[in-house]
Amino acid sequence: MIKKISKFFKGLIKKDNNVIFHGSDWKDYSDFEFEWLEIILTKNIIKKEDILSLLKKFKIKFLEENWEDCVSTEEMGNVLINDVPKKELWLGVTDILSKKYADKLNFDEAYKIWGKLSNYSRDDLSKIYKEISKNKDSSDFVNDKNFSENEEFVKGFLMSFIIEELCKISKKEAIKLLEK
Amino acid sequence: MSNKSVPGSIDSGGNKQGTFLEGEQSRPHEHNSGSSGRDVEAFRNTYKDDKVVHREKASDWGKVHNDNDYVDYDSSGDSGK
Repeated sequence: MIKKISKFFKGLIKKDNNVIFHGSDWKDYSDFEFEWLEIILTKNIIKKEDILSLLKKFKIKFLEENWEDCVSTEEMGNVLINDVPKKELWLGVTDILSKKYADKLNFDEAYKIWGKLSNYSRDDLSKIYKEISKNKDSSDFVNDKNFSENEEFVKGFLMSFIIEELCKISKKEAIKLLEK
Repeated sequence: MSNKSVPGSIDSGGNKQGTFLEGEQSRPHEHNSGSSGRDVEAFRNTYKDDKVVHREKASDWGKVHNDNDYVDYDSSGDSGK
């Protein structure tokens, strides 16, 4: 009898510690939440060891031999976004950011900047982007008038590029750049 | 996001220019449930002279998980479920 009760409770504990994920519902994210998470997990903002720690935490592994060496961080990040529900992934990512990347923009700060950028004109956004961009091809692309007659999508591109670049540098540098 | 796409085309030199909606599948992986397979999803890849200058998940298209023996339409996009 005692054995049976003990087995029952062990089973309960095991279930609690082993939440099974069935994929993420992207409708849980706002547009900017999704965009920010994608930047953090797939654009080399955080180190590979941190992406690996998230995969380990959620018990996801690739099936190839030596996958930890041969799978890119972008591929790993994409699988995390696909398979881990928002609540768990969000907590995991923000926990890593606050503990190891406190010098970088957090979500609330990035969202605040996003809000300000959305009120800027295309010319202002182009100036900011030129100032901070290290990716010349992208810069040429967004400024190429043959591509960009639609104000709305050019602004969308520029805002994404700017946020991505700002997430790569320190919070102090980001604020300094925007003050210029 | 969908408002960030420039209509894609292939120029006279055969180079991609602009945004293309392109399907991709992940490498096979295993979840904590023990199930394994590949994710199939769409990306918006924006090219200049055949080189990707911007890339993002096409979240409005959702994703599909191909779980070895069956396909689980577990996504949220227009094409999901």
